[in-house]
Amino acid sequence: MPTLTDFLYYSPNWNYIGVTIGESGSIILVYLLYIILCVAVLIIVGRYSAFNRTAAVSRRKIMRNVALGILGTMVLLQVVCQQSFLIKLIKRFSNQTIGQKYKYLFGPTYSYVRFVLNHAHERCAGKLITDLNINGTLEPYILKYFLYPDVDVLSETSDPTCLIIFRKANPEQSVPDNFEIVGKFDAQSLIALRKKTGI
Amino acid sequence: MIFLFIIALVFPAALGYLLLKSLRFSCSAKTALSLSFLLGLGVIALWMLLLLIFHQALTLSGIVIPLVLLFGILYVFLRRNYSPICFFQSPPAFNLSVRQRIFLYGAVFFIAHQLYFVFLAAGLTPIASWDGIYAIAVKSKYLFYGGQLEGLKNFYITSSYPIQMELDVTWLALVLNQWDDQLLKYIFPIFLLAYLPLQYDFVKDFSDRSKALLSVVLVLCSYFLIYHSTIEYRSIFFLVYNLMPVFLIFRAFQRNEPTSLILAGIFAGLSAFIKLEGTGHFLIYVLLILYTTLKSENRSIKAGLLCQVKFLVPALLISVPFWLVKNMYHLGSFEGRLGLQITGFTDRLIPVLSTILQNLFLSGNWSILWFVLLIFVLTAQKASFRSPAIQYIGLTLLLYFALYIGLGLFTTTFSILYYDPYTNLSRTILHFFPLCPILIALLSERNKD
Repeated sequence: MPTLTDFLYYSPNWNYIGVTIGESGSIILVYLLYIILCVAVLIIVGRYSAFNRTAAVSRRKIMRNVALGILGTMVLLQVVCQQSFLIKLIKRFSNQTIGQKYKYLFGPTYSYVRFVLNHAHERCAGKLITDLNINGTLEPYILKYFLYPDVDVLSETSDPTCLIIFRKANPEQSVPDNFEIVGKFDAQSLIALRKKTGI
Repeated sequence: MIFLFIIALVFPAALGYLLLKSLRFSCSAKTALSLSFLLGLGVIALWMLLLLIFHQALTLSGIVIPLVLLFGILYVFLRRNYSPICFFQSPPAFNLSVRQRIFLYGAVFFIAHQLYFVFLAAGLTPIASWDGIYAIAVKSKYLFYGGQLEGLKNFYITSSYPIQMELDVTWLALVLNQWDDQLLKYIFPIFLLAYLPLQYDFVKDFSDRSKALLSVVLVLCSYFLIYHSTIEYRSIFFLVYNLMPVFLIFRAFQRNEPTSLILAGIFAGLSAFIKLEGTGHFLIYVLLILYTTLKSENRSIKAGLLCQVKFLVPALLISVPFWLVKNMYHLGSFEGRLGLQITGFTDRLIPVLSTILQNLFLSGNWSILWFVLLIFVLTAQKASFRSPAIQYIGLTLLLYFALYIGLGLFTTTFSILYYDPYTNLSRTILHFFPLCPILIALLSERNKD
C-alpha cells in the first residue's frame, strides 16, 4: 500500500480515483469507466431510437450529456479522494517544523545533513564523495541543496576543506592524510575536515 | 514574513501594470492584474540576469530602484491616450434560470475547492519535489547566496535550462531576506490562480460567460494540473507563459490590436526564458500569425511581415540574453543531445502515436477530458466549425501535436519524450492541455434558458 511519501511524489500513471490504486489498477479503472460510458450511451440511444423516435433530444446531445455525466462522476470521486489526501496531509504535517517535515520526507539522508551541519562549525568548501549515481538519484542533490551555503558542495571546488562522504563503501579509505575524520554517521557515511596546519 | 511575501508579489504586479499601460493595452481588471503580475516577474528576472551578466550583486535596491525609475519614465512618456482600467466595474446583471444558477453555484464551489486544495497541499509540504531539489530550488538558492552565474555549469544536465523561474524564486527570497523552504512554495499555486482569469476572459471575449466558466471548471478537472500547481516544477510557469501568446495572437487579429501582438511577443520571449521548449514554440506562434493574417481582411505580404516583426522583435530581444549567457558560461547543452534522426522514422510512428494516445486516454492525468473532447468534436454541428475561435484553438492544438509527433519521428527526442507513456510526455502535454477544455467549452451549446 503506498505511503504518504508516495503520494507526494505522484506518479501520473496512477489514476487518482481510489487513493490506494496503483498503476495496473488505475488502467483497469479507466477501462471500466469507458465501458460504463459506452454502455450508457448505447442504452440511452437505443431507448430513444426504439421508443421515442420523435424525441426532441438528439442522440448527439445524449452522447454529450452522458460524456459530461461520466466526467462529473469521475471529478466527484476525485474531489472525495482529494479530501482524504488532504486529511492525511494535515494529520501528518500540520504543527510540524520544517526540519520534522524533511526528516519524514528524506529520512536518513536528511539526518546526515543535520549531522554534517553539526560537525562543520564554520562555512567550508566541500566535496561530495559517494558511490551513488550522481545523475540518477536524488540523494546527492538533497545533500547539495540542504548543505548549501554552510557547506558549499555546489561549487565543486578543486581545493576542498571538507569531505562529505556519503554511502561510500569503506569511506575511511577516501580520506587523504591531510584530512581528519570528525564524525562518523554510519558504516558508509562520515565527514572529514582538512587538518589545521600550525604556523 | 507574510507581509514581505505579499510585497514581493505586489511589486512585480505594479511594474507589469506600468508596462501594460505604457503599451496602452486595455482589458478587464482581473486580466490586467494577472498579466501585470506575469509581466512584472518576467521583467524582474530579466533585469536580475543583466545584473548577473555584468557581475553586479543581486541586492533589493539594485533591482528595485532602477526598475522603478525606468518604468516610471516609460509610463510618463507613453501614458497619453491610454484607456484606464476600471477596477470597480458594475457586476453583470444576473437574470439566471434555475439550471444556470445550479451550474453557477456548482462551478464556483468546485473552483474554490480546487484552489483551496492547491494552496493547502502546497503550503503543508516544503520544497521537496525531484525537480525542486535537483534543479530549480537548488539553483535559486545558489543564486540567492552565491549571486553569480559561474557556478551554474556545475548543475550538469540542468545547467543549460533557462532560469527565469529560478530568478523569480530568488527575487522572493531577496525580499524575504532569507531562504524559506515553505513560503517560497506558494508561488506555484499563485501561478494557477493568475492563469484562471486569463483563460476565463479569453473564452468570454469570443463566446459568453457560461462557456468561459465551463472552460475554467474543465481545466481544473485535470488532476495533473492540480498536482503540478502544488510542486516545484517549471511546468505551471511554462503553461501560463506558453499559452499567453496563443490567446493574444487571436485577440490581436480579432480586435485589430497590434499591442496584443507585441505583448504576445513579450510572453513568447519569456516562455523561452523559462523552458527550452519555449524557443521551439516560436514556430507555432509564427504559423498562428501566418494563419490569422491569411484569415484577416488585410492579407498583403507587407502586412503579414509587419505582424511577424511586431511579434518576433520582442520575443527575440527577451530570449537572446539567456542564450548569450549559455555561450559565455558554457552552460552545458541539453539541446545538443537533440539531433536529426530521419532514418527509421516509420518504425517510430506507431510507438509515438500509441504513446500519445495512451497518455491522453488511459492515464490518470486528464480525467476523461480528451475523450469528452473527442465526443464533442464528433457530435458537433457543422456550423460550430465555422467559428473563428474554434478553428483557431483547434489548429493550435493540432500544431502542438504535430510539433511533438514530428520531434518524436525525426529527431533524437524520441528517446527522451516517448521512452514511456507518462513521465516527460505528460509534462509536455500539460503545457498546452488547457486548449482541450477551452475547445470543449467552445463546442458546447448554450442552453436556451
